[in-house]
Amino acid sequence: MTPPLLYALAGVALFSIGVGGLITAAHLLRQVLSFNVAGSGVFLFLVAMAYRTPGPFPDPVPHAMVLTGIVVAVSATALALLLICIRHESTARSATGEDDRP
Amino acid sequence: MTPTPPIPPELLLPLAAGLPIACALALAAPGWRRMMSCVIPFAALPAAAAAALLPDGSRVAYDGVLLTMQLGMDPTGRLFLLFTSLLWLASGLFGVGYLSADPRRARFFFFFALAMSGNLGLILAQEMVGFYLFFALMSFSAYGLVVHTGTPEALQAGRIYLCLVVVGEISIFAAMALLAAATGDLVLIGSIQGPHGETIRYLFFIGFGIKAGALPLHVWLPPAHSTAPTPASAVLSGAMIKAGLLGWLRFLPIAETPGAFWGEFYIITGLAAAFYAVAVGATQTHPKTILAYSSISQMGLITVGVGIAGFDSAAAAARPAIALYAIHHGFAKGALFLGVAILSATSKGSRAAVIAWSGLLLAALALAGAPLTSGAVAKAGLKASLGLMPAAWQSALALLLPLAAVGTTVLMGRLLWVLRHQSTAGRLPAAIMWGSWLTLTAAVATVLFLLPTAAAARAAALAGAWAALWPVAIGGGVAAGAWMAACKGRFFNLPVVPSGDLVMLYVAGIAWGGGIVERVRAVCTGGRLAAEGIGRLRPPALLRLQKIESLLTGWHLAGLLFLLLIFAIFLKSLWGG
Amino acid sequence: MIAPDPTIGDPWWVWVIAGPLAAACAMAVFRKLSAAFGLLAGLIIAGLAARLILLVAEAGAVKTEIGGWAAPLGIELMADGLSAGMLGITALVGMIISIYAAAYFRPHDGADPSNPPPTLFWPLWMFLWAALNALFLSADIFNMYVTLELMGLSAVALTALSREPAAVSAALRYLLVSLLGSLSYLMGVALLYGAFGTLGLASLAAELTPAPAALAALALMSAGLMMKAALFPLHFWLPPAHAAAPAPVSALLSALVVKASFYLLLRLWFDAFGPAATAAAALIPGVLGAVAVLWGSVQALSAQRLKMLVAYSTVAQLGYLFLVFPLAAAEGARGTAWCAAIYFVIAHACAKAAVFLAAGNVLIGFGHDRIEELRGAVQDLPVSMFGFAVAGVSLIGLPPSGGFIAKWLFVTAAIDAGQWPLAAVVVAGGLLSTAYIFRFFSRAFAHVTEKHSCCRVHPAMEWSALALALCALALGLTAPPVIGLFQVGPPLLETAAMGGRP
Repeated sequence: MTPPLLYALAGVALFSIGVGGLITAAHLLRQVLSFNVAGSGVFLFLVAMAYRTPGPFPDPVPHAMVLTGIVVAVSATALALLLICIRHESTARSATGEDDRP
Repeated sequence: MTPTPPIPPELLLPLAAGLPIACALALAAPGWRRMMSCVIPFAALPAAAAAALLPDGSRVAYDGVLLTMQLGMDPTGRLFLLFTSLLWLASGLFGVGYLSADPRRARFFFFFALAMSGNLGLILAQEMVGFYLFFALMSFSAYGLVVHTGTPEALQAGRIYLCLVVVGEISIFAAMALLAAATGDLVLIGSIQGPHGETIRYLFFIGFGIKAGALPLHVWLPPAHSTAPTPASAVLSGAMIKAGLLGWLRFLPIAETPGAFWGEFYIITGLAAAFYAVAVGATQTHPKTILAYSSISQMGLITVGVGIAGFDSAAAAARPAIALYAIHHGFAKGALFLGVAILSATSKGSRAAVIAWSGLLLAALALAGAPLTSGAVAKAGLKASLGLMPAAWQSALALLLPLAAVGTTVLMGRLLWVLRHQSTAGRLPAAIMWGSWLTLTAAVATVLFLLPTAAAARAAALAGAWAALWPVAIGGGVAAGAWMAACKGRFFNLPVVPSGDLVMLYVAGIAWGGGIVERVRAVCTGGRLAAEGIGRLRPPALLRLQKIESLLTGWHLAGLLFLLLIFAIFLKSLWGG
Repeated sequence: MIAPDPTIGDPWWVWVIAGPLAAACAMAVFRKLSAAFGLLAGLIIAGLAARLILLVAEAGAVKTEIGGWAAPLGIELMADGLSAGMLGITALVGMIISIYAAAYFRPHDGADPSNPPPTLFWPLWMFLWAALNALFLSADIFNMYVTLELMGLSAVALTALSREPAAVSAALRYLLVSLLGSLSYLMGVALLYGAFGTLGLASLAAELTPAPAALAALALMSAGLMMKAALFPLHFWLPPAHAAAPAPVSALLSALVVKASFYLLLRLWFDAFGPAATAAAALIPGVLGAVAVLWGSVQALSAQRLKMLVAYSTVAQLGYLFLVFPLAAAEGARGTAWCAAIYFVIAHACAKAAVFLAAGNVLIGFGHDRIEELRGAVQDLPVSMFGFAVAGVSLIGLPPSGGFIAKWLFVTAAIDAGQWPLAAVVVAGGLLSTAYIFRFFSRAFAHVTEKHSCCRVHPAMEWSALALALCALALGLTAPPVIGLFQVGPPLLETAAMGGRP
């Protein structure tokens, strides 16, 4: 097993864990964290993909994608946290339970 | 034969179909409302001019509009356009007087103009999509006319009407799509072919039959016609009802079917409607309801004509006869509806009442087909096409058609009986109402004697004047007998069939289907018109669906479904290909 | 067909993306002038979009590389008939909604303190508009991801604009859905890059093989986009979000944002994934779409509130779009089905935006949107209700509306393809939509004698609803040129001509 493959598999595993958490977690903060875990999984996978071609230098395109992806993930996290705060102020709840259905 | 028309068709055809819409839109400007309400009836004039001036085959096509819309003139269309435009004109002018005190007059004329545009446009349309456009415009705008008064009865009638209109629209849409897919073309009179010919024919029967009041689909007609304001009833019964007929003529080359099944189908349905509607109509107490049932009965006779046209041998003769009958019935029914309103505004015994009575009598006799009336000409035309049919049908129809005339006469007798106390004083109808009604009555008396197309039928009517007399005489005798018996108080009380007869059954069926027992009981006890059930139905099944929906909104289940979807697409594309 | 743009530097049409971004920056400085900047940007975008449409219709597809950086590292933009058309419909609907919003978010005289301040709406809407335009012009799947996220984030923020608990809850749910969907999409992008080493739509279409990695990417990306496009049974987030948002936002979301996800699906299935997206796989979105048509309509039929009714109607109408996948898989019906779907997108965009704006007017006028209590609404809001009625004609699919053309094309495509159940679904959907539209009509147009208490609604708001409805109607009268535009250089059209058949 080559290191890039190991990294790629770890990335897929992280992605799966994150998505699983996003779906099953009951707490909003946990869901946001799960999203970040899943995102990191994808980024790890992409970084591993930079080594898929033999040669002294890694492929720069996945790196550019990861950098862009991190910016997007940070903004999304910020928006999610802001919304959770607003919701917490107005309702003093922060879980997506059964009572949450609009 | 006609030299270049004085007005080019490129101008006149779109004007005929579109001017009423433009007038309806002009109603939106508050300052124009008063004037436009009076102008709208005249929006039918370009159509009348087109019917009079444009030669057959004139045509305009609009690339890019809809799916290449085409308007044009053809012999059948000309006859329909003639009486339809005049009827809209006369009814509209009548409405100007009739609704002069109605605060919502503008609203009435808005829908009136839209329906007018639809009715005139569908006659001019030369391809399917345009026909469907104008047909839908007419049908849905007429809803506004039916519910105009806003009474509970009107709203119920409107609801029934709308349900049937929607079913009809869907049927026509499906039939046209099938036809277009089979022929790859949008022309009107083609041939019905492809593997789905039978389906298309059934769909067209339902779709246009609803509009034409064919038997099991006629239930919207009596309630709608009796609750709509009189000018609207006149066009509903005189003009719009014929749109269904025109649909049949345009789309059904019935004769193609081997075995003449469809010809017989239409003849039998038509005869059933002709007699059934007389029987139910004779029990009615409201004059406009009686007139509505008479329309169903007369449309039944025209449907017989459509059936006759379904026999190869008789098709060529029957088609013009159908158009003539439609003209006759359109004018006569319009005159009767307006006449009823005129009569109720006169005071008993006055000279105005006498004029109203004589006009009504004339129209009633014409409808019954008394000799020397337009009815006799129309019926003679229909009978003349009989001669080309198989012998069995020939003899059967030779017996049944006069019997239907007897029925019509009895129904007209019943109408006059119901009307006998109708003159309840009040102010005299406005001059414009008199004028438009008298014009229509004059048209009833003369139009079939002036039309060149009707020459053959006229000759046949003159030759067979005696044959036309006996049904009217018998019917008149029956009616007179019943009248005298009733005057002496020895008359049995007829049970009144609720207006819309079978609609009760349908609603009961729906209610039963939805599992609402109370509804059925309410329907069986019959007091109120059960149509309100249609709108309020919320069967348990619907509630169950709402529960499932609230289940689907759960986040965890949705997440699970999302994962399932990913796997489903993956596996399906892995192994399915 | 694709010719490099002759101009040196970035071509003018890049400004449909840069314009709204610049306007958003300007709004941060001059807050009071937000609405003016927004309308100005709208005008510029509309003008540029019109010019681009003319260019594409005349010269075929165009493309450019931003800043002169070549493809894998730089960003490539491409405009063919479909992109230009989507850009155009976005500009038309967006411009009219902007006019509505200028009145909706106008500095009020303290009448309704719950109205959010306009300074928040405008920059977010400009971001959304830039994201939409960029998405339609993107030529590679990663750039599509970025624009998809930018669109999703601004849409979520717009949903929560009122800060009411229901709106914030709906926005959070919407955000999670959006993030899950785009993560899934991004994973698909990573898989594709790993397997084929390219991101461009065109090069993917050339190099893609139905390897397991490609199929997994197809599944992940499609499912993510289907969730973002609210395909049954993943529509759960849409009705609350669209119903809780302020009226102009609801209109934007329903008319444009969900369509963007569908646009990406179209691009992927017919372009990049051509070899992998088989007829068998196409059956899944088709069946789900058919169920969505029926399910959404039934839910709309039993909705108690007007905005809920309209939102469920969106669920139903989006279902029609997905019928394109199985229909286009059948040989004889490809071109017709493709045109049907795109025509449906633009007709529905106009009609649904009109309906949501009219519903917003009802909400402002009467202070509630409970359908049963809206009897006689036409007397107080005649223009809005007329707009609702005209748009309803298109939603039902009656002629002469864009909705009719789209449904007609769908039905003939289904018949051509021999897919009878789908034809039946289109017809039944028409029946059900008539039922729910008239359920509201029969109340709104009822004649009542007592007077409602109705606040005044700004005329611009009433008339913009009507204007959009008339656009939906006009689309029925201009079918051939519009269909012609959408056929400029699109991916699959070996059957570009539809024969004599409409």
